[in-house]
Amino acid sequence: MAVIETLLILLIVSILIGVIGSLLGIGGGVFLIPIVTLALGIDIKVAAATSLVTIIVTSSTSAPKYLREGIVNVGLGMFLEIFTVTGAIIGAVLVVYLSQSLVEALFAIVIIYAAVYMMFGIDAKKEIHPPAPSGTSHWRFNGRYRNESTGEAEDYGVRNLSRGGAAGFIAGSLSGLIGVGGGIVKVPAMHIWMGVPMKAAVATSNFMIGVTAVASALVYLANGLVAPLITAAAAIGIFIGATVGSRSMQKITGRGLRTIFSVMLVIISMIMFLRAGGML
Amino acid sequence: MSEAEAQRQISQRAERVLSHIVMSGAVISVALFAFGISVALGNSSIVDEKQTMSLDSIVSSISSMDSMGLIALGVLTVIATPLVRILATILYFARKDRLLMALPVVTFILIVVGFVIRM
Repeated sequence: MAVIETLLILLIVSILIGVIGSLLGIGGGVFLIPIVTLALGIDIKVAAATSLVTIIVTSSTSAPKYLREGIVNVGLGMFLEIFTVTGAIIGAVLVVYLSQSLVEALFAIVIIYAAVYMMFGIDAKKEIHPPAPSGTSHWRFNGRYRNESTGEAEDYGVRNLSRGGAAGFIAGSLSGLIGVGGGIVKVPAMHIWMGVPMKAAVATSNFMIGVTAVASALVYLANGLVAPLITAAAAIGIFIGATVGSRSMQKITGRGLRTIFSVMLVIISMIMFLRAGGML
Repeated sequence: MSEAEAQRQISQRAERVLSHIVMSGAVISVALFAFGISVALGNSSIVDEKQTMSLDSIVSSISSMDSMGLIALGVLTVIATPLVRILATILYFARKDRLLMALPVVTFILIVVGFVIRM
């Protein structure tokens, strides 16, 4: 395939991933990495590096909206970033020593989890306060956000910082190992364990993702794993797609499309498993 | 005004500053990517799209300011954006809240250490 065709296909695919990702409320990494790996025949570590750069672009594009709306818990985000960044660096350092098939198998497991999360996970549009978890509220990280259904500002307490930190470390490790954002781990942890309302958890996770991704992206860059042309085409596509997706429509809440994309992820996961086992 | 309320107002001002920083970084980097790819396709200078870059080659291509240099600059701009955001947060909270200043300081040190040990 000619270079121009490859870049054009990647650009179009990335636009679609950007739109789908913003509509589903997930990062595009779970779609981008397998496509770049399986369709373009690129090493999964290079694909992960590409994904990390696009994640930073996506986060930088969508975070300002959340920040202006005042739903990002900046203090909590900066606290959790310490753990996500630690995990991301360890993951990115480790990945250099892992075989391609092992990384592919790990990725396959994570996208099965992503499929289940997308299908049965918590609805990002719900503005529910989770039942207050046990533990002392840490007032320095307590937050406030505007509940759109009531139109009123609501305060919430933040609890269980140690559990949240552990979840942040795991999310960061996944980011470093396989190039995903880690929101599928952080968001439920903030919501269920720490008592953060869903919208604030999604916004805070998005705010943190750029910093987490940059910690691993720098390690990938230092190891010469960034392919600039692939990265540039994917980043432009994701930027366009995420911008269009976030402005044009509401998030997809219907079960139908979520089921289709979940099934797609399971199929991708199976292909990755077969590839990791040397059967493809 | 309660301490928590004062804290919230500081955070709101920080949120506005940070949103400008991250959005500018995204727009500049995507513009550099688009310009770099356009120039590269225009003069047919792309040989292998799968070619990866080392740090040395990134520095040398930026200094030559060719199409790959523009794209490499775009990659560096993407990476620099969250780092600038961290530094801006440190400066913003330096005189307002010691704890909120200390958190990004630790994060920044971790990122620098992670990068240095892989170089």
